Amino acid sequence: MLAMDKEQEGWSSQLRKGVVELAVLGLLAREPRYGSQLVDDLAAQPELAITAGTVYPLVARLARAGLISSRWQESPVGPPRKYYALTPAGHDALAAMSATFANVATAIRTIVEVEK
Amino acid sequence: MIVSLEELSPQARAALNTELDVLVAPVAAEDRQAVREALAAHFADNLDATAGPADVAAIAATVGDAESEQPGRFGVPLDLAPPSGEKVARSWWNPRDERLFVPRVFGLGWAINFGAAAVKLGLIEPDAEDEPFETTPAPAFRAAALAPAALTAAVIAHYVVRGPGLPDQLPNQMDLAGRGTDPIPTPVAAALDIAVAAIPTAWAGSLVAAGKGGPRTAGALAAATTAASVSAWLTVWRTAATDGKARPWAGPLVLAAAWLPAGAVLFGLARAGRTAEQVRDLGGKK
Repeated sequence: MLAMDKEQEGWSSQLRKGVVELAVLGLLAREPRYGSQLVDDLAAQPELAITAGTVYPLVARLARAGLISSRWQESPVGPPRKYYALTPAGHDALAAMSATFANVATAIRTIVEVEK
Repeated sequence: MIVSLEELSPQARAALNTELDVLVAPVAAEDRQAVREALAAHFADNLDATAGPADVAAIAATVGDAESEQPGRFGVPLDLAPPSGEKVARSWWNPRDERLFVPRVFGLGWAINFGAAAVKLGLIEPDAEDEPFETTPAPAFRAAALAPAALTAAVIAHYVVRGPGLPDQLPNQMDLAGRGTDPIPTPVAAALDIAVAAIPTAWAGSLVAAGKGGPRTAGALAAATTAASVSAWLTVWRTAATDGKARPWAGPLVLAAAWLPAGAVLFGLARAGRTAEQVRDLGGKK
Protein backbone atom coordinates (compact mmCIF):
# COMPACT_ATOMS: atom_id res chain seq x y z
CA MET A 1 0.00 0.00 0.00
CA LEU A 2 2.86 2.30 0.91
CA ALA A 3 4.60 1.57 -2.40
CA MET A 4 1.34 2.31 -4.20
CA ASP A 5 1.00 5.68 -2.42
CA LYS A 6 4.59 6.52 -3.29
CA GLU A 7 4.02 5.59 -6.91
CA GLN A 8 0.85 7.69 -6.98
CA GLU A 9 2.65 10.66 -5.42
CA GLY A 10 5.51 10.37 -7.90
CA TRP A 11 3.10 10.26 -10.81
CA SER A 12 1.15 13.27 -9.53
CA SER A 13 4.38 15.18 -9.09
CA GLN A 14 5.48 14.43 -12.65
CA LEU A 15 2.09 15.49 -13.98
CA ARG A 16 2.22 18.78 -12.10
CA LYS A 17 5.74 19.44 -13.34
CA GLY A 18 4.51 18.92 -16.88
CA VAL A 19 1.74 21.50 -16.65
CA VAL A 20 3.36 24.19 -14.52
CA GLU A 21 4.73 26.05 -17.56
CA LEU A 22 1.28 26.08 -19.10
CA ALA A 23 -0.18 27.43 -15.85
CA VAL A 24 2.36 30.27 -15.69
CA LEU A 25 1.91 31.22 -19.35
CA GLY A 26 -1.88 31.05 -18.93
CA LEU A 27 -1.84 33.44 -15.98
CA LEU A 28 0.47 35.89 -17.73
CA ALA A 29 -1.77 35.82 -20.83
CA ARG A 30 -4.56 37.35 -18.74
CA GLU A 31 -2.45 40.24 -17.49
CA PRO A 32 1.17 41.02 -16.55
CA ARG A 33 2.00 39.97 -13.00
CA TYR A 34 4.89 40.49 -10.62
CA GLY A 35 6.75 37.56 -9.07
CA SER A 36 5.05 37.20 -5.71
CA GLN A 37 1.66 37.86 -7.32
CA LEU A 38 2.33 34.97 -9.69
CA VAL A 39 3.30 32.77 -6.74
CA ASP A 40 0.14 33.73 -4.83
CA ASP A 41 -2.13 33.18 -7.84
CA LEU A 42 -0.63 29.76 -8.47
CA ALA A 43 -0.79 28.88 -4.77
CA ALA A 44 -4.52 29.58 -4.96
CA GLN A 45 -4.76 26.34 -6.96
CA PRO A 46 -3.67 23.82 -4.30
CA GLU A 47 -3.95 20.93 -6.78
CA LEU A 48 -0.94 22.33 -8.59
CA ALA A 49 1.16 22.43 -5.37
CA ILE A 50 3.43 25.10 -6.87
CA THR A 51 5.73 27.07 -4.55
CA ALA A 52 8.01 30.07 -4.95
CA GLY A 53 10.92 27.66 -5.27
CA THR A 54 9.34 26.30 -8.44
CA VAL A 55 7.98 29.52 -9.88
CA TYR A 56 11.06 31.75 -9.83
CA PRO A 57 13.46 29.33 -11.60
CA LEU A 58 10.72 28.54 -14.11
CA VAL A 59 10.09 32.22 -14.84
CA ALA A 60 13.83 32.67 -15.45
CA ARG A 61 13.84 29.75 -17.90
CA LEU A 62 10.81 31.08 -19.77
CA ALA A 63 12.46 34.50 -20.00
CA ARG A 64 15.68 32.94 -21.37
CA ALA A 65 13.61 31.10 -23.94
CA GLY A 66 12.04 34.41 -25.00
CA LEU A 67 8.50 33.38 -24.03
CA ILE A 68 8.09 36.08 -21.39
CA SER A 69 9.62 39.50 -20.79
CA SER A 70 10.26 41.34 -17.55
CA ARG A 71 10.22 45.00 -16.67
CA TRP A 72 10.44 47.00 -13.45
CA GLN A 73 7.42 49.21 -12.84
CA GLU A 74 6.57 51.72 -10.16
CA SER A 75 4.12 50.47 -7.57
CA PRO A 76 1.47 52.71 -6.00
CA VAL A 77 2.08 50.91 -2.69
CA GLY A 78 5.74 50.41 -1.90
CA PRO A 79 8.91 49.88 -3.90
CA PRO A 80 9.03 49.13 -7.66
CA ARG A 81 8.11 45.63 -8.77
CA LYS A 82 9.31 43.47 -11.62
CA TYR A 83 6.37 42.58 -13.86
CA TYR A 84 6.31 39.66 -16.29
CA ALA A 85 4.34 39.61 -19.54
CA LEU A 86 3.97 37.21 -22.46
CA THR A 87 5.97 37.95 -25.60
CA PRO A 88 4.51 37.15 -29.05
CA ALA A 89 6.50 33.90 -28.96
CA GLY A 90 4.97 33.22 -25.54
CA HIS A 91 1.45 33.67 -26.94
CA ASP A 92 2.28 31.20 -29.72
CA ALA A 93 3.73 28.73 -27.21
CA LEU A 94 0.68 29.06 -24.98
CA ALA A 95 -1.66 28.36 -27.91
CA ALA A 96 0.36 25.30 -28.94
CA MET A 97 0.66 23.99 -25.37
CA SER A 98 -3.05 24.54 -24.67
CA ALA A 99 -3.99 22.61 -27.80
CA THR A 100 -1.62 19.77 -26.89
CA PHE A 101 -2.94 19.69 -23.33
CA ALA A 102 -6.54 19.55 -24.55
CA ASN A 103 -5.73 16.76 -27.03
CA VAL A 104 -3.87 14.72 -24.42
CA ALA A 105 -6.66 15.21 -21.87
CA THR A 106 -9.26 14.12 -24.42
CA ALA A 107 -7.25 11.04 -25.38
CA ILE A 108 -6.67 10.01 -21.77
CA ARG A 109 -10.29 10.61 -20.87
CA THR A 110 -11.37 8.43 -23.77
CA ILE A 111 -9.04 5.62 -22.69
CA VAL A 112 -9.98 5.82 -19.03
CA GLU A 113 -13.70 5.90 -19.82
CA VAL A 114 -13.33 2.89 -22.14
CA GLU A 115 -11.47 1.07 -19.36
CA LYS A 116 -14.39 1.77 -17.00
CA MET B 1 13.96 16.19 -35.60
CA ILE B 2 17.37 15.01 -36.74
CA VAL B 3 18.86 11.54 -36.53
CA SER B 4 22.44 12.63 -35.96
CA LEU B 5 23.99 15.83 -34.63
CA GLU B 6 26.25 15.69 -37.70
CA GLU B 7 23.27 17.03 -39.65
CA LEU B 8 23.63 20.39 -37.86
CA SER B 9 25.70 23.23 -39.26
CA PRO B 10 29.19 23.61 -37.71
CA GLN B 11 28.01 26.77 -35.89
CA ALA B 12 24.96 25.05 -34.42
CA ARG B 13 27.03 22.02 -33.47
CA ALA B 14 29.60 24.22 -31.71
CA ALA B 15 26.80 26.03 -29.85
CA LEU B 16 25.29 22.69 -28.88
CA ASN B 17 28.59 21.36 -27.53
CA THR B 18 28.97 24.50 -25.43
CA GLU B 19 25.42 24.19 -24.07
CA LEU B 20 25.96 20.51 -23.27
CA ASP B 21 29.19 21.36 -21.41
CA VAL B 22 27.32 23.89 -19.27
CA LEU B 23 24.33 21.62 -18.66
CA VAL B 24 26.37 18.62 -17.54
CA ALA B 25 28.86 20.60 -15.44
CA PRO B 26 26.92 20.07 -12.17
CA VAL B 27 26.65 16.32 -12.83
CA ALA B 28 29.07 13.90 -11.13
CA ALA B 29 31.94 12.81 -13.37
CA GLU B 30 30.84 9.19 -13.48
CA ASP B 31 27.32 10.12 -14.67
CA ARG B 32 28.29 12.97 -16.96
CA GLN B 33 28.65 11.03 -20.21
CA ALA B 34 25.29 9.28 -19.80
CA VAL B 35 23.52 12.55 -19.01
CA ARG B 36 25.25 14.23 -21.94
CA GLU B 37 24.05 11.53 -24.32
CA ALA B 38 20.49 11.77 -23.00
CA LEU B 39 20.54 15.55 -23.41
CA ALA B 40 22.00 15.27 -26.92
CA ALA B 41 19.12 12.95 -27.84
CA HIS B 42 16.66 15.51 -26.46
CA PHE B 43 18.24 18.23 -28.60
CA ALA B 44 18.16 15.96 -31.66
CA ASP B 45 14.43 15.38 -31.12
CA ASN B 46 13.76 19.11 -31.06
CA LEU B 47 16.11 20.47 -33.72
CA ASP B 48 16.10 20.19 -37.47
CA ALA B 49 19.00 20.44 -39.91
CA THR B 50 18.39 24.15 -40.52
CA ALA B 51 18.65 25.04 -36.80
CA GLY B 52 21.10 27.74 -35.81
CA PRO B 53 22.84 28.63 -32.52
CA ALA B 54 19.77 30.64 -31.40
CA ASP B 55 17.56 27.57 -31.74
CA VAL B 56 20.05 25.56 -29.71
CA ALA B 57 20.05 28.25 -27.00
CA ALA B 58 16.24 28.37 -26.94
CA ILE B 59 16.01 24.62 -26.30
CA ALA B 60 18.82 24.74 -23.75
CA ALA B 61 16.88 27.39 -21.85
CA THR B 62 13.92 25.02 -21.47
CA VAL B 63 15.99 22.08 -20.32
CA GLY B 64 16.44 23.52 -16.85
CA ASP B 65 18.97 23.02 -14.15
CA ALA B 66 20.15 19.68 -12.90
CA GLU B 67 17.56 18.02 -10.68
CA SER B 68 18.06 18.20 -6.97
CA GLU B 69 18.96 14.52 -6.82
CA GLN B 70 22.65 15.30 -6.76
CA PRO B 71 25.38 12.71 -7.09
CA GLY B 72 27.39 12.17 -3.97
CA ARG B 73 28.49 9.83 -1.25
CA PHE B 74 26.21 8.71 1.62
CA GLY B 75 23.81 11.54 0.88
CA VAL B 76 26.54 14.18 0.78
CA PRO B 77 26.80 15.92 -2.61
CA LEU B 78 30.02 15.57 -4.58
CA ASP B 79 31.22 17.73 -7.44
CA LEU B 80 34.54 17.04 -9.11
CA ALA B 81 34.07 19.34 -12.12
CA PRO B 82 36.78 22.04 -12.12
CA PRO B 83 35.68 25.18 -10.23
CA SER B 84 35.32 28.45 -12.09
CA GLY B 85 34.24 31.98 -11.26
CA GLU B 86 30.89 31.42 -12.91
CA LYS B 87 30.33 28.20 -10.97
CA VAL B 88 31.15 29.95 -7.69
CA ALA B 89 28.70 32.75 -8.44
CA ARG B 90 25.87 30.42 -9.45
CA SER B 91 26.36 28.26 -6.36
CA TRP B 92 26.90 30.98 -3.73
CA TRP B 93 24.35 33.41 -5.14
CA ASN B 94 21.12 31.88 -6.42
CA PRO B 95 18.23 33.86 -4.91
CA ARG B 96 15.67 31.93 -7.00
CA ASP B 97 16.66 28.72 -5.23
CA GLU B 98 15.09 28.47 -1.77
CA ARG B 99 17.79 26.12 -0.42
CA LEU B 100 20.16 27.74 2.08
CA PHE B 101 22.71 24.97 1.63
CA VAL B 102 23.65 23.86 -1.86
CA PRO B 103 26.29 21.42 -3.18
CA ARG B 104 29.82 22.73 -2.90
CA VAL B 105 31.49 24.24 -5.94
CA PHE B 106 34.18 21.57 -5.75
CA GLY B 107 34.49 18.47 -3.61
CA LEU B 108 32.23 16.84 -1.06
CA GLY B 109 29.72 18.78 1.06
CA TRP B 110 27.63 21.91 0.98
CA ALA B 111 28.09 25.64 0.58
CA ILE B 112 25.90 28.56 1.65
CA ASN B 113 23.52 30.02 -0.91
CA PHE B 114 23.79 33.69 0.11
CA GLY B 115 21.08 34.60 -2.39
CA ALA B 116 18.53 32.45 -0.53
CA ALA B 117 19.73 33.89 2.79
CA ALA B 118 19.28 37.46 1.49
CA VAL B 119 15.77 36.65 0.25
CA LYS B 120 14.81 35.07 3.59
CA LEU B 121 16.11 38.17 5.39
CA GLY B 122 14.01 40.38 3.10
CA LEU B 123 17.10 42.12 1.70
CA ILE B 124 16.41 41.35 -1.97
CA GLU B 125 13.73 39.82 -4.20
CA PRO B 126 14.29 36.34 -5.70
CA ASP B 127 14.02 37.86 -9.18
CA ALA B 128 15.77 41.16 -8.46
CA GLU B 129 18.03 40.53 -11.46
CA ASP B 130 16.98 38.75 -14.66
CA GLU B 131 20.35 36.98 -14.64
CA PRO B 132 22.53 37.49 -11.56
CA PHE B 133 25.39 40.00 -12.10
CA GLU B 134 24.73 40.41 -15.86
CA THR B 135 23.66 44.05 -15.46
CA THR B 136 25.97 44.91 -12.55
CA PRO B 137 27.94 47.97 -13.70
CA ALA B 138 31.74 48.09 -13.90
CA PRO B 139 32.15 50.58 -11.01
CA ALA B 140 30.47 48.07 -8.67
CA PHE B 141 32.97 45.37 -9.70
CA ARG B 142 35.84 47.80 -9.17
CA ALA B 143 34.52 48.69 -5.71
CA ALA B 144 34.10 45.00 -4.84
CA ALA B 145 37.70 44.32 -5.89
CA LEU B 146 38.85 46.65 -3.10
CA ALA B 147 37.80 44.12 -0.45
CA PRO B 148 40.23 41.29 -1.35
CA ALA B 149 42.88 43.85 -2.35
CA ALA B 150 42.71 45.56 1.06
CA LEU B 151 42.82 42.24 2.93
CA THR B 152 45.79 41.06 0.86
CA ALA B 153 47.58 44.35 1.50
CA ALA B 154 46.92 43.92 5.23
CA VAL B 155 48.46 40.42 5.21
CA ILE B 156 51.55 41.64 3.35
CA ALA B 157 51.86 44.69 5.60
CA HIS B 158 51.59 42.51 8.70
CA TYR B 159 54.55 40.37 7.71
CA VAL B 160 56.59 43.31 6.44
CA VAL B 161 56.05 45.42 9.55
CA ARG B 162 55.89 42.76 12.26
CA GLY B 163 57.98 40.07 10.55
CA PRO B 164 61.32 40.97 12.13
CA GLY B 165 59.80 40.81 15.61
CA LEU B 166 58.00 37.48 15.13
CA PRO B 167 59.29 34.17 16.57
CA ASP B 168 61.27 31.88 14.28
CA GLN B 169 58.32 29.52 13.96
CA LEU B 170 54.56 30.00 13.76
CA PRO B 171 51.79 27.40 14.22
CA ASN B 172 50.37 25.87 11.08
CA GLN B 173 47.47 23.86 12.56
CA MET B 174 44.72 24.61 15.04
CA ASP B 175 43.40 22.10 17.58
CA LEU B 176 39.77 22.00 18.72
CA ALA B 177 40.51 24.47 21.51
CA GLY B 178 42.01 26.93 19.06
CA ARG B 179 45.59 26.34 20.22
CA GLY B 180 48.39 26.43 17.67
CA THR B 181 50.15 23.16 16.73
CA ASP B 182 52.52 21.88 14.04
CA PRO B 183 54.92 24.88 13.91
CA ILE B 184 56.56 25.85 10.62
CA PRO B 185 59.29 28.45 9.89
CA THR B 186 57.90 31.98 9.93
CA PRO B 187 59.02 32.79 6.34
CA VAL B 188 57.14 29.70 5.12
CA ALA B 189 54.01 30.75 7.05
CA ALA B 190 54.31 34.26 5.60
CA ALA B 191 54.73 32.96 2.05
CA LEU B 192 51.74 30.65 2.52
CA ASP B 193 49.44 33.38 3.85
CA ILE B 194 50.50 35.90 1.22
CA ALA B 195 50.09 33.37 -1.62
CA VAL B 196 46.63 32.27 -0.43
CA ALA B 197 45.48 35.90 -0.40
CA ALA B 198 47.37 37.30 -3.36
CA ILE B 199 46.90 34.67 -6.07
CA PRO B 200 43.06 34.64 -6.14
CA THR B 201 43.04 38.41 -5.66
CA ALA B 202 45.34 38.88 -8.65
CA TRP B 203 43.12 36.59 -10.74
CA ALA B 204 39.93 38.47 -9.80
CA GLY B 205 41.68 41.82 -10.14
CA SER B 206 42.86 40.96 -13.65
CA LEU B 207 39.26 40.24 -14.70
CA VAL B 208 38.06 43.53 -13.25
CA ALA B 209 40.98 45.45 -14.78
CA ALA B 210 40.15 43.95 -18.17
CA GLY B 211 36.64 45.39 -17.84
CA LYS B 212 35.02 41.96 -17.55
CA GLY B 213 31.85 41.65 -15.51
CA GLY B 214 29.04 39.13 -15.19
CA PRO B 215 28.84 36.03 -13.00
CA ARG B 216 32.39 34.92 -13.80
CA THR B 217 33.93 38.05 -12.32
CA ALA B 218 31.44 38.13 -9.43
CA GLY B 219 32.38 34.56 -8.53
CA ALA B 220 36.08 35.31 -8.87
CA LEU B 221 35.74 38.29 -6.53
CA ALA B 222 33.77 36.26 -3.99
CA ALA B 223 36.35 33.47 -4.04
CA ALA B 224 39.21 35.97 -3.77
CA THR B 225 37.49 37.71 -0.86
CA THR B 226 37.07 34.38 0.92
CA ALA B 227 40.72 33.45 0.39
CA ALA B 228 42.05 36.85 1.44
CA SER B 229 39.75 37.03 4.45
CA VAL B 230 40.73 33.56 5.71
CA SER B 231 44.38 34.39 5.10
CA ALA B 232 44.10 37.66 7.03
CA TRP B 233 42.43 35.95 9.94
CA LEU B 234 44.96 33.11 10.00
CA THR B 235 47.77 35.66 9.92
CA VAL B 236 46.40 37.30 13.05
CA TRP B 237 45.75 33.95 14.72
CA ARG B 238 49.21 32.50 13.93
CA THR B 239 50.88 35.46 15.61
CA ALA B 240 48.59 35.42 18.64
CA ALA B 241 48.74 31.61 19.03
CA THR B 242 52.46 31.60 19.76
CA ASP B 243 51.52 32.15 23.44
CA GLY B 244 50.00 28.63 23.56
CA LYS B 245 46.67 29.81 25.05
CA ALA B 246 43.35 28.18 24.10
CA ARG B 247 41.09 30.25 21.85
CA PRO B 248 37.90 28.24 21.31
CA TRP B 249 36.38 31.01 19.19
CA ALA B 250 39.24 30.82 16.66
CA GLY B 251 37.76 27.94 14.62
CA PRO B 252 34.27 29.45 14.26
CA LEU B 253 35.87 32.77 13.32
CA VAL B 254 37.77 31.09 10.48
CA LEU B 255 34.43 29.84 9.12
CA ALA B 256 32.91 33.30 9.52
CA ALA B 257 35.92 34.81 7.76
CA ALA B 258 35.48 32.30 4.94
CA TRP B 259 31.84 33.04 4.28
CA LEU B 260 30.55 36.39 5.51
CA PRO B 261 32.76 38.79 3.50
CA ALA B 262 32.12 36.82 0.30
CA GLY B 263 28.38 36.96 0.98
CA ALA B 264 28.59 40.70 1.48
CA VAL B 265 30.48 41.13 -1.80
CA LEU B 266 27.92 39.09 -3.75
CA PHE B 267 25.04 40.92 -2.09
CA GLY B 268 26.55 44.29 -2.99
CA LEU B 269 27.09 43.26 -6.61
CA ALA B 270 23.54 41.90 -6.88
CA ARG B 271 22.05 45.09 -5.41
CA ALA B 272 24.06 47.11 -7.93
CA GLY B 273 22.68 44.91 -10.72
CA ARG B 274 19.14 45.38 -9.42
CA THR B 275 19.61 49.15 -9.31
CA ALA B 276 20.97 49.12 -12.88
CA GLU B 277 17.90 47.21 -14.08
CA GLN B 278 15.61 49.69 -12.35
CA VAL B 279 17.42 52.65 -13.87
CA ARG B 280 17.08 51.00 -17.29
CA ASP B 281 13.35 50.34 -16.90
CA LEU B 282 12.27 53.31 -14.81
CA GLY B 283 14.52 55.91 -16.36
CA GLY B 284 16.37 56.81 -13.20
CA LYS B 285 13.36 56.83 -10.88
CA LYS B 286 13.59 54.15 -8.21
